[in-house]
This record gives sequence, structure tokens and C-alpha cells, in this order.
Amino acid sequence: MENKTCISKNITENVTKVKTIFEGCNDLVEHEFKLNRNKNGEFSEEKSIYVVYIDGLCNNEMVESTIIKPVTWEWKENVNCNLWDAITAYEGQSADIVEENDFEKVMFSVLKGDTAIFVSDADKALVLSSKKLPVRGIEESSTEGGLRGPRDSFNESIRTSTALIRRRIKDLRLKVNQGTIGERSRTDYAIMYIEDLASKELVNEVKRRIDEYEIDAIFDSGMAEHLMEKKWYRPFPIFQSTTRPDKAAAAIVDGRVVIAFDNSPEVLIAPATINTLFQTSDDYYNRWPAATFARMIRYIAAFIAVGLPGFYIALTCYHREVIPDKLLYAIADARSQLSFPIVLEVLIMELLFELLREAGIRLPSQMGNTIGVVGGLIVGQSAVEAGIVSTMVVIVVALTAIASFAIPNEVFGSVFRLLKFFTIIAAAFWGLYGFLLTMLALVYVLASVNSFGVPYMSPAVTCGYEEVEGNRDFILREPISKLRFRPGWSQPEERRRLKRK
Amino acid sequence: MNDNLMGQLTYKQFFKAVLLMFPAVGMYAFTMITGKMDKNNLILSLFLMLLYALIYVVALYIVFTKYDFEWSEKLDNSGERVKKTILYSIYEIRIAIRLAILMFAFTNACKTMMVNKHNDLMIVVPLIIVMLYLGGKGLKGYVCFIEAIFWSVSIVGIFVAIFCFKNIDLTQMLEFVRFHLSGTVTGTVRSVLIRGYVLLIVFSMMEFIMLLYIRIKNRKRGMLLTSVGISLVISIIASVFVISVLGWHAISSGTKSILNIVGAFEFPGGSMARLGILACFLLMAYGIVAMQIHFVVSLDVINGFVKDRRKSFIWKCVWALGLICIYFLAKRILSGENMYELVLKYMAVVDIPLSVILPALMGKHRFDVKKTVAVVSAVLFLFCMTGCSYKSIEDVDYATVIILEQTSDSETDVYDYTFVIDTLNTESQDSVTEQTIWNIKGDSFENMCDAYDKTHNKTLDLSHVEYIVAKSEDELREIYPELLDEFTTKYVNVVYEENIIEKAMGEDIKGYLDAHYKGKCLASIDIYE
Repeated sequence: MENKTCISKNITENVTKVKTIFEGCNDLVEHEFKLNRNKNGEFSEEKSIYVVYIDGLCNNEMVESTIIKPVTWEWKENVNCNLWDAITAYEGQSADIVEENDFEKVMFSVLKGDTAIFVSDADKALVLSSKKLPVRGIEESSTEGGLRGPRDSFNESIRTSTALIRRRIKDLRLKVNQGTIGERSRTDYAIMYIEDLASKELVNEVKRRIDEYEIDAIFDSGMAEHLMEKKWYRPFPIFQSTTRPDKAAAAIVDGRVVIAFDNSPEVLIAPATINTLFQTSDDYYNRWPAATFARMIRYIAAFIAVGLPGFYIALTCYHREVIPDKLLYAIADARSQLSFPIVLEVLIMELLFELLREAGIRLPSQMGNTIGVVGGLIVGQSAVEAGIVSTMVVIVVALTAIASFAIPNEVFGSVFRLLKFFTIIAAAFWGLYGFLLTMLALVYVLASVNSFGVPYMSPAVTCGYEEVEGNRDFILREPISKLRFRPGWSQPEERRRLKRK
Repeated sequence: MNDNLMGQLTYKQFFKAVLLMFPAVGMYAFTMITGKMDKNNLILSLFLMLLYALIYVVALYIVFTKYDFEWSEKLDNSGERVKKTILYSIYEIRIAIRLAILMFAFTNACKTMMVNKHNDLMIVVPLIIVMLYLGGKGLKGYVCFIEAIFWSVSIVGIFVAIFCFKNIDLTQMLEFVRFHLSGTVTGTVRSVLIRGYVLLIVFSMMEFIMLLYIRIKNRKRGMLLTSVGISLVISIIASVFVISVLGWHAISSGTKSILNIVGAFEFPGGSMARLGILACFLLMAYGIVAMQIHFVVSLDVINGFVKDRRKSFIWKCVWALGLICIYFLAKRILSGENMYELVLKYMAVVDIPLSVILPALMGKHRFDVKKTVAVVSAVLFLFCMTGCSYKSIEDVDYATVIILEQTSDSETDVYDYTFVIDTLNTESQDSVTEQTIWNIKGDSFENMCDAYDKTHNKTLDLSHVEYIVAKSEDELREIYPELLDEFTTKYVNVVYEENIIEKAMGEDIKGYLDAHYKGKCLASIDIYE
């Protein structure tokens, strides 16, 4: 694409330029209309309008009714007036139309689905907002289900994402700063926050990071997320991603920043902590004891997801004194016909599970159940009968798998699934010593991570960061009437969110 | 979040840090080291300890608060640079020696409780690799880690105390506080003085506590006093608890160590607890807290002095290798009987004075630790991997009862060992296991176990021994230390009875013992009483 260029007053030059730029683009639709005809239908003077848009991205009917009909019928006898003034005066009344004098920007607008209108003798062009991109409807989230609460979820349109959030927060202070990222993809993004709740440093830092790199294309928020991370080698996500508008809206009201990307059904939320990654929307819709219990279960699930296979290996290989007699003999009996050592047995089953998971994702949803039945039941059962694995290992691996899916954030859960292999290897070589060393090292690493200045393990870790009553919404989710303050990342003067009238 | 903690630490964080850095070392010193310095007067030596500690803390306070010193200061003068290099090198070596001593204690504990078949290298190398990596997170990472584990450690500590509560015998404390004259007045004074040094071990962590203290936002002297005071009181109470559970005589004679506390685990109702893992967790958590700060400080000094990242990394590797060498040297020196006295002398004469003198000479400490340490040396890791050896759960015969009897037909002290073993019975539908009895004569428990492994397809496992049967206490006395080593972390009932096999009349021996004896744990039995 050319650098910034001005629009010529000579419409022929503009037409040639457009044709050159879009050469080989057969989806381009262009119309040139000759105007200023006399009463006999003859052209008195060479005046024309050139309309250009891309088929499929644009609302053709709108272009027809807003531009083509007026130009070809209503003004067919319009003579000797300034054409530009006439069009802007007429179109400005009804259509979403803007004047633009930068040729490059006009072309990018066309690529986004807008319609460009070049007019004779005008060194500007009109850009009609006529986007009609092909999008999915608003469906129920397939990755973040819940028993109670709204069912809608974001889709691939950034406008739908911002609209679904705006629908929930009718506040004049809700800001939507838009921009584009990707030199070739020109992906739109929108940074959303409430002006007086989100800290300025946080907003500026998000903007700085998103503008930090030049990249060819961004096709999903996941790509942008990785680009914006300071330390590439860290496995833990420092953004929370969600497909649920209610979750995103709640984050904004908590003083966080939401970044929505076009073509991505997941928005990013910054900052993220382990606490927020373990929370779900229905925690706040259900009664507090049930929500608290659910959170406890999730934390235990995280421990099981990362540590159970390693713990099992440590106990059965090195610390048998801990296992009660009857269970010990049951395990030994189950293993007596097997040919593989316990570590290999666990690794085989874990890899088998990962294989099934990966296959389940790639297969069409109708076949997903088949994979579950074939993999889980038939292969599992056969593996036990064939003497490859023991029943106890099947139980351990199944429990681990279930636990890893109890972690609400998939990205976070997948890190735990990966780290599980470290604990397995450490436990295999060093027993409980290796297991505890790995687990404590994991806690150490987690404790030293921070997301946009907020400790990842906040509120358990406060290092240089102050929370007011942060523990009220941690593992224990206190009643809504007790959650009086926003988390520590919000602006200090707007920390209070609940007071009696 | 900045990496530099200066002026950012809150009192709450500092308090938590002190509470985790102090009591474990304190408890170790009070129970293990004090136990070896048996000629004592508690009150007098405690007074002396506190006096030493007070002087030390005041000296540290002056050095850390009044002197402007900085690791990473620019040195134009080459003479000055040489001087600083020498000082930094001494500081690093000193840290490495202290770390080696701590690692020696930690490794021994780990071997007793968790990895008794592994050699030292296999334990130390992964530990150093992990700690080098974590050391790169800086002082802030260290404080965050303490905050993260504080409540879990506290809760587990309370659980451990509850499990041991039933076995507390406060009369054991009488011996600890009783005044003993060691022949002469000078002998007594000397003993008291030596024991007074013990607190210096406890206060050896004070240097790092002071490093954190000067980083507190709006710090006050009362904060230091309260935190250290409370930690000291907690470590004394915990030591009293341990001594009361294990018995002063057993501790001072070396037949029981602090690790035997696991053997005293019992639920309040009297049933056995198999939760030795809790104690293992405490050991690992306290061990990492005590050792990691040395890594953090040491790496920070290297980062401050060597600006080039590549050179800095090389220096860190050199330091880590040096640490391993010092560890094995320390192990050789400390394996003797007078190890505690050696440690005490070193701490009192070299380490403690240097902890004050070196910072005063060196300049400003500024902890600007960045991500530094690349992790794994693949060769060392693979080397460790090759050391992996464990027995599969089904390839093992589980002894449940050991019967000891002194044979009268030999001139040497030979024992008749009878093992009641549960072997897997995969053919029978009624029971998974069947009882077999194996008898052998020998002079050492360990040799007998080896003999079993050589003569059988499966190896003998003692993890599920529930009863040790001897004719009398005198017979048990000879082999007692060897048994204690084996059963430190296990729950075993000791029974004095003759002809147990005949009495069981061919039936299940363990069942017979279950019916007649229950509830006597090894940790509560003291043969010297």
C-alpha cells in the first residue's frame, strides 16, 4: 500500500489509482455515474461520481438506496450546482457518512466493508459506513457454561462484543478506545474500561503494549495476548480470556480493562490473577456457601490436576508406609500381572488421555461422544485387560483429567496439565522429595509472577500491593452485601462499590 | 511491580517472613544442638544466649541502617576494585559455606524422611538447580513465596502439633532445666558458654532478616523487636513441645532426633496417623525458606558486581559448582562426632563476625536482582536420572512383624530374626495376601534384610512393619539404634513377649498382636528411663 496520498480533484486519476490498487481483486464492485445531463438526457459537462466497495463485506441494499438511486434518478436533471455540496447536504441527513481526504484511509475503509464515493472536482471522498460482515449469531458459550446467569456469548464481530458489553453497562464513563493491529490484517481492537474505575497506569500500559509491535496479522485475541506478554517463556497467562459478556462487564466494573478483537469470540481482560482465573460468573449468581464450596473444589482440582499422578508415583514407589494395608495390597494385586513400571504406566495413560483430548477437539462435535466412548471405555477397559495399565492408574488419570477440566479457564488449566508431567518425572526419580520440591518451586514461580503490576497470587501474596478486604472474595466468597470494596487494581478514590442508601 | 523492594515491604510481609525464617532454625538449634551440649543450666545459658544475640542484633542494626553500601557501585580506582573484589569473594565464600552447612542438615533430614536410598549428589544437585533458577526471582520473589506458603505451613504445623499432642510428657522438660555441675566451676562455666553460642546459630538468619527490615515502608524498631521476639518464643515453645514428645534423654544421647516426631503421630483418639507427609512438607518448606535467601543474596551480589549477563551467568555456575564442592567438604568434616561443636565454633568465630564486618566494608546493598539464572545443566540432570532406583510396589514382600531373640549358643552377639511377611497371593479368591515366616540368624538388622533380598525373588519392605517383638528390653537395647534409624518415620509398636509364634498357635501372628497390643508408639518409649 502507498504512503499517505491526497485525493486528486481529477476523478479519472482517482479511478485509475483505485483500479491499479485493486487489480486482480475480482470481488471489488465499482460504479461510475455520469451526471449533469440536460433535459434531453445528454451530458452537458463531464461530471461523475465513482462508487467503490467490496462485495460480501458491504450492505448492497444500503448502497443502492443511499447512493445509487439518488444519484441516478433524483439528480438526473440537477445542473450547475456544486456536486460535492449537494451530496454531502443530502446524504449527511440520513446516512452514516464521513468526509476523508487521505486516499490510503479511504482504501482501508473499503477493505473494512465501507463504501467509498469519489466525486468530480472534489479533493475529498465520502466514506459510507455500509459494513455487513458475515458473522455468526449470538449463541451460548460452548467453553464457559454455567447453570445460572445469561447465556449469550461474544461472536467474531468486534461490534457485537462492544455492544454486548455496552448493553450491560450503561455508563457515560465507559470508554471504548478503538485501533487496528496487524500491518496486513488491520484487525480492529477495542480497549474498554470505565474511566474513573480503571487505573490510568493500567490503561496506558495496555495501550503501550498493544502498540509495541508491528506484526503482519492478528487472527485471534490469543495471538495478541502472547504478543503483549512481557516474558515469553512464562507458561501462565497474564490475561484472562472469556467468551461471556457478563464476565467481561463484571471485570470492567471491577476496574479492569477489556480488550476485544475483531474476528475473535474471546476478549482479553487485564490484569489477571489466579483468583480471577478460578472464578466463574455463576459464583456471583449462586448463594455464597455454594459458590465458596465450588471455589474450594476448583482449588483442590488444580492440585489434583498438577499433582495427583506424581503423588501416586511417589507413594507407590517410595513411601508405601503411608498407604493403608488393604489399599496397598489391592494396588499390588492389580499390578502383579503388568509388565510396565508404574511411571511408564502412568505416562502411557496420561499420553493416551491427551491423545483422546486432542482428537476430541479436532473431530466434529457429533463424533466427540464416540471418541469418549471408544477412548474412555473401550480402550481403557482393553488396556486394563491386556495388562498394560492397572485399574488404579486408570482411576488416577481419570481423576486428574476431570480435575483439569474443573479449572474454569482453559488456558490456565492446560498449563496445569503440562506441569503435571514435571511432577511425574520428579516423583519418579526422587519420590516425595522431588514431588514437594516441584510443587514448592511451582508456588515460588507463581508467587513471583505479576500481571500488570498485580501479584498473580493476590490476595494471598500482597508484595508491594495493597488490597482492601481482598480476602472476602478469594476462596471464601462472602455474601454480595459484604463485598463492599473493589479489588486493589481499581482507582483508590473509587474503591468502594457498595454502600447503604 | 518493581523488582527492587526498597521501601516497599510492609510490616505484615516482614512479620510473615521472619516467622518462617526463624523458628525452624531455632527449633533445630534448641533441640539438636543444645541436646549435644548436655551439661547445662537452662536459665543461665538462655540469659547468655540472649546477651550474645542482643549484641549481634545491635551490631547488625548499626551496619545495615547507618552505612551506605551498594553492591553495584561503580569503581574507577583499580585499587579500590581489587579490594572490593576480594571482599565480595570472601562474602560469597562465606555464604556458600553457611549454605553448605544448612544443606548438610537438610539433606540428612531428607534422607531420613524421604529418600533414604539416594546418595547426596542426587539430592543436592536438583535442589541447587531449582534454587538457582528461583534465585533469579530476587528478594521480591522470595518474600512473595513466603507470603504464598505462610498459611499452609502454619496450618500444617498446627496439624503436626495436634497429632503429637497425645504423646507430650512435660516431665521430660525437668532434665532440660536442671542444673548440672560438670566437675568444676570452670567446667560448668565453659559448658554454659558453649551452649550460649547456640543462639548464634538461631540468630545467623538475623543478617537476612535485617536485609528485609531495611526495606520496610515506614519502619520502626518495634517491628524488628516484635517479629524476632515472637519468632523466638515460637521456636522455644516448639522446641519444648518436641523435647516433651521425644524425651530429653533420647535427644541428648542421639537416639532420637527431631525427625522422630513423625513416629509420634497419633490422632487425638489414639489411632495411628499416617501423615508423615505433613512433616515432610514442613521440612521442605522450611528448608527452602532457610536456604533460598542465601541463593538470592549470593546471586544478587554477582549481578551487582558482574554487569555483563553472560559473564554473570558463568560466575553463577562457578559459584554453584563451588557450593557443591564445599558441601562435600563440609560433609566430610561434619560427619564426625563433634560436628555440632565445629559448626558452633565456625559460626561464632568466623561467620557471625564476618556478617557484620563485610557489609560494613563493602558498601551499599541494593537488591536489584533480575532474571538471571538459566537452569539445567543437562549433563548433571542426566547423571541424576541414572541414579533413579525404586522398587515396584508388587515386587516387594511386606514384613508386618519382626521378632528378635538373642541366641545363647554363640559367643558373639548374634540375634535370631524372625520376619512375619505378607506375600501376595494372586491365586486365592479369599485373601489377597498370605502370611509367611522367615527366620535367620545374624549380627545386624541391615545384613539380615540384605540376606532376604539375596535369597528371594522379591525384596523385603519394612514400610508396613507394625510390631517389633523382643523377649525383653535388654535384648532390644543392643539393636535399638539400628531399628530407630529404620523406623524414624514409621509408626511401630514395640512388644516385649516370649514365644509369640507358639502363642499364636499357627494363626495370624499380626492378628494375635493386634488383639493384645495396640497404642504403644516407638517414639514414646525411652529405653534409658
